[in-house]
Formats: sequence, structure tokens, C-alpha cells
Amino acid sequence: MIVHPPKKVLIEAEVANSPLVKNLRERLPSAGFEIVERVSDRREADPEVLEIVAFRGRFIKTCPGTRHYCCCGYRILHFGTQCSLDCTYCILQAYLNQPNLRLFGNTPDMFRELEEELQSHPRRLYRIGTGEFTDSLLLDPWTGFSRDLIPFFARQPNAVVELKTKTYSVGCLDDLEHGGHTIVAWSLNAPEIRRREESRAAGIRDRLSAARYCAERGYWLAFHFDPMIHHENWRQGYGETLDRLFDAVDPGRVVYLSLGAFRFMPELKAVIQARHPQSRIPYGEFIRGLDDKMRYFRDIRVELYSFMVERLRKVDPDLCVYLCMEGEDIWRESFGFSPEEKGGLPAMLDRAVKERMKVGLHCDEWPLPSVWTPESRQC
Amino acid sequence: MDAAYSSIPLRHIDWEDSTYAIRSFQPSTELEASLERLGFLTAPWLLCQGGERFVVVDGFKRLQWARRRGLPDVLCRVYPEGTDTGELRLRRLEGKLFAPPLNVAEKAQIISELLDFLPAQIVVREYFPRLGVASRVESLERWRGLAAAGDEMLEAVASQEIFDRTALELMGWEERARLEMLSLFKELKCSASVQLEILERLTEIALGRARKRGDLLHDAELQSIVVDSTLNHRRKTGLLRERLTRMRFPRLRAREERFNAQWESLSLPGSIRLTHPPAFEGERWQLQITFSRPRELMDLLDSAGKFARSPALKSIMAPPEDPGVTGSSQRSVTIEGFSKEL
Repeated sequence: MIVHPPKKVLIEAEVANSPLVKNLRERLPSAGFEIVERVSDRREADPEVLEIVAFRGRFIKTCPGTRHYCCCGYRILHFGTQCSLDCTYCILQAYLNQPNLRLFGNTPDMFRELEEELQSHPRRLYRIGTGEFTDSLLLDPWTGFSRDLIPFFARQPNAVVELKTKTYSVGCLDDLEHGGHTIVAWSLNAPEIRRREESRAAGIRDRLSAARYCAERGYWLAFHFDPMIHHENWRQGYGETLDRLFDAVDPGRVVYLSLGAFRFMPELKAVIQARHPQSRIPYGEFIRGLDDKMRYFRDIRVELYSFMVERLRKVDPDLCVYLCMEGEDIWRESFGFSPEEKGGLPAMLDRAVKERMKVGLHCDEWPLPSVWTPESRQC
Repeated sequence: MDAAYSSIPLRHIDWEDSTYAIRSFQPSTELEASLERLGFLTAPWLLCQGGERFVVVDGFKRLQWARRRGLPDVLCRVYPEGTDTGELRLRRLEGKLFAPPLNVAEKAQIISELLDFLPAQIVVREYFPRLGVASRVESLERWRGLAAAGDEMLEAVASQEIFDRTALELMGWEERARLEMLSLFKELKCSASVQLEILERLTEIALGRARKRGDLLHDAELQSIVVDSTLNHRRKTGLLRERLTRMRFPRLRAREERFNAQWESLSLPGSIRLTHPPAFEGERWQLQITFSRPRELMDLLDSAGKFARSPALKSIMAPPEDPGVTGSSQRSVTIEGFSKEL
């Protein structure tokens, strides 16, 4: 893994005394700290800079699902943007107006908003994750953010938090009171894809060692084979990663596992070609999906998913395996059923949380009245 | 920088010196007709090299015409010996820029020359708009490459056998493959967008297979079309595009071919048309019936109803049983449970 501590921290004056900045000052003694009135958006990325800004928007967002495909009903805790792992396929590359690592310094506002939201719907089960616009644990050794976040969720009877990462930075999680409300999740891929397209991220072995480390400390786990990349010998590659996964961890500790074939906004193709000319990913057999994103031709997706589902059922037939943003036809062909038959995808995932983690047992079952994204189709 | 008008004997001109030439790579028939009719409308530019030696700065074609016509001398605008040659070149380029429209070969040469003595940013910011060229710094090296790409390439762009974006794209190709594509495009006589589509397909197929583009062009499945002398240029272009599309999207094309073959095997009336979802994405299929009389509609609805109730519809909508196998149009198709005698 290639992750360097920031050498320069640029801080907006409004959050100069926040707990996050205090942690950074303690843990980055040799970094330069500069207070500015406002951090402006830049065109050029500086990998040595970390920006700490005051965030004005909503910290809790709904998963950016579209009405054409089944969405998981996940909530995103928006705590920062960008990632220095620089995976070739990463969608964050398209956010060129904001290329530097950026965290939101007003964390007290974030926890206040979280508390209000969770308390306003005490019978609703919240599955909340932080890894949508950045890697959840990339900067954790220096921010120690997980040391605030995990105990906070341990106190919430109706919520679990998922920290999604491609690192092995789990040191801060060691002695925390997590109360069984935290899922530590890893994005996994075939070894060849890890090597070619995720070269700065932790190796598969290190990710799985970190997962085992967390499981030994009572954390729940999740895994995301997303994005799955169709490549030569993909069966062998994904099969190998699955074997290694379940050699490393007990499937009974895994709350859910998602599969998602690579999909992207059309604009990303040119960005990948320019920034990662050696990548062969853009030359897969992509078609324009119903949501206008580029997706592998459906038969390829079904093939990828069916292979994984078959293997996973042999490992643990009760493991909640789901597809991220796929249509009911793809579900039926890959699983033999559609989420609708199981009460919808959000209900399937809630059930996995309740049955495995025993969290939110008092919460209502799906479908819930007027919740989540009105536009999202909850299959 | 002073220049004076003077009548210069053509025998004093150094015809071998092409320092200031910007070749148009186009025939000068129309220009010569104009000269025959009207003679010189503006004076050519010469630079004095000392004594009675002059080199041509501007007006190459006109002076060559005069020489062929046997004129003894021509009134020229003469720059004296010791003139700043860099400044003179710049004037020559500016003169070209504001003269009648430039072809792509001339633009390439002008850009290349400008880059010799101006910073790239200035060339892009100030000269690209005048040349009608997209202001992209990344394209500078390709323009420079095009200027040095040789007469065959420059003649082809000047005559629009290949178009500017095609030519610039080809500058990123290795030389042998570039020349092969050049001669292929000359033969295909296709539009700019089709040229670009062919280049993009070849590039993406090659990159996806970790192969060189030039090698890919020699694959039997493409060569069988490229070297087929019985095909006219339209047919050859069509077949090549089709083959490249199949190579780029093999699974989708196989599914489309399977769908088409199955549909045709049903022999339903031509007024009934089944359309699959675009790229088979999603579950919205369409059945279209075209009719002109109520009676005809009833007959067609009857046929459509029988088709809808038969296993044939389910079969045609179903994904291939073995998705790992790439199909082809040669594959035989049998749909059980549906009678062609509808």
C-alpha cells in the first residue's frame, strides 16, 4: 500500500479549533499547518495537501441510486472527498474541480445532524456508510475519526455504520467500544485487477489480514466485489480471491457481500485514458445503461454474478449477497429470484443486519412509509 | 524592416532554396488560369542574399509560372540583405494566415514553423483560433508531426482524402500502420466521422487485447475485407465497419444476430415488428404492428396473439443458455413450439 501522511494541512479558519484539527496536529507533528479564510477549489491536485473545510451541506445523504435499478437504501455519511489510492477506474477522478484530499472539519455539526436524524425515526433501521466519496480509513491513522464515530454508533439502537476501505489502516479500531454496531468492509477484486488497477491500495492479503484482525476484535465484516472487471481469466481471479477471503475469515462474521460490475459515467472514459493510459478497463464491452451510465453488456454481467453467487452459496447459503444497482432481470438470472420477492433489497439488507448483528430488532420492516429516496426504486 | 519594390530578373532567383516555402500540396491550375488572365495582382516577396542573388519568401507558384512562361523579370517586394530572417518568416506566416483559406497541410506547416520561434502557449492561444484549429496544447506535437509526415500524408489532408482529426489521430500511430491506414482511407473514400470511428474501433480493440494496432489490421478477419478487390468502396467500408463493431462488441453482436435469426425464422408477417430493448438492457420490449385497414389489423393481431402465446416469444426474449459462447450469424436457430404457418 502506498499512502503517505499529508505534508501540508490547509485549514479553513472556521474549523481551526475543531477536534479533527486537534487530532491532526497531534498525529502529524512534522506537517505544515496553514489557516486560510477559505480553501478554494483547484484544478491541479497536490498529493501532499490535506484540506480541512467547514461543510455547509447535509452530512447524511441517500445512496445515489436511480429509478431504473434496484437500490440498497443505504445512507451515506459525507465526511470528506477524494482519495489518494488513485485506482484507475475511480469515479472520483471526474471531480476535477476538487482534486485534493478534503475532510470536513465541523465534525460536531456532523454528529449533531446524525443524532437528530436517528432520534427522529427511532423505529427505522439506518445502515450508514462513510466510504462513498472517499476511503473510510485512508486518513484514519492521522485523523483518528473512527475513534469518535464507532463509539457514537455503539450508542445508537437503530443504526449501524459501515467503514469501507481498500487499506489495512485498522489500528485505531483496536480497543474501541463498538457494541457490535460497526461493520468494517473491504472492497475486493481479482489479484490481477488489484495489481494492475489498484496498485496503490493494500494487497488482497493485507486487506484480508486486516479483516481477520477486526473480526478477532468482535467487529462485523462486509465485502464488496465492486467494481468487478471482466478480464481474461476472471473466473480464476475472482475464484482465488473468494477462496482467500473465506480462508481468512469466518463467513458467519460477514453481514453481507455485494457484487457490482464496473459502471461509469461516460465522461470517465476519457479521464481514465488520459490519466491511466496503460489501463485496459475502458475497452471492455460496455453499453449505455438505462441510467445513462456505461455498463458491461448484460450477458457479461449475468455471467460474472452467476459465477460468484454459485461459489458463495457453497460457502454460506445464508450469507446475504446482493447486487449493487442492477435490474430485476439481472437478479433473476443471477440468483433465481428478484429482490421484490424478498420484500425489496433494503428489506433484505435490514434483515441481514438484524439476523447477524442483532441490531435494530425493534425497528419496522420494509416497506416503510415515505422513507429514503422517493425516486429510488425499492425492488 | 524596410522593403522596396524592384523589378528582378528571374535568372537571379535561387530556385533551389525553399527555406520559406509552405507547400499547399494541391494543384495550382486555378491560380495559373488567373495569372494567364490578369498577371500578377500583388508582388511576390524576395530576400536579397547579397549581390544579385535572391530567394523566394512568398509567391513560389506564381514565380514558377513566370519562369515557365519565360518572363524575363517580375516586379517584386525585395527585402535587403541582413534582414532579420526570423521576423521575415513571421511576416510570411502572418501573410499566409490572412490570405485565402488554408488547407490542413498548410496549417500544419505554419504551426510547425511558428513553434520554431514562439512559445507553445502563444501559438495555441493566438494562432490556433486564427487557423480555425481547436485550442488544445496537447495537439501541438501532433500538428508538428503532421507537418513532417511526408508528402503522401500532406497531399491526402490537403485534398481531404483524410480529414484533419483523422490525420492528427494517425500521428499517434506507428509509421507503418499510419501509412497503411492512409492508403486504406484513400480507397474507402469515407466521411470524417466514419474515418474516426474506424480508427477508434481499431485502437480500442487493440488496446483491449494488448496488441499493436498495425498488427490487428493484418488479422485475417480484417484482411479478407481490406484486400478484396471485388468490393466497391461503399461495400468495403460497410463490411469493415460491421466487422470492427463485431470485434469490439462480440457478445452484444452475437446476441443481436441470434435475435435477428430467431425472428426471421418465425416468418411472421412483415407488418409485425419485434424490437428488443436497446443493447438488451432492461425489460421493455416492443411489438409494432403496421396496418392500413381494420380487417388487416385483426389478422395481424391474430398472428401476434398466437406468437405471444407460443413458447417462441419466451425463447426469443431469453438470454443465451450458455452465455460464455459467442454466437454467429451462421448458427442454426430452431424455436420449438411455434408454427411458421401462422
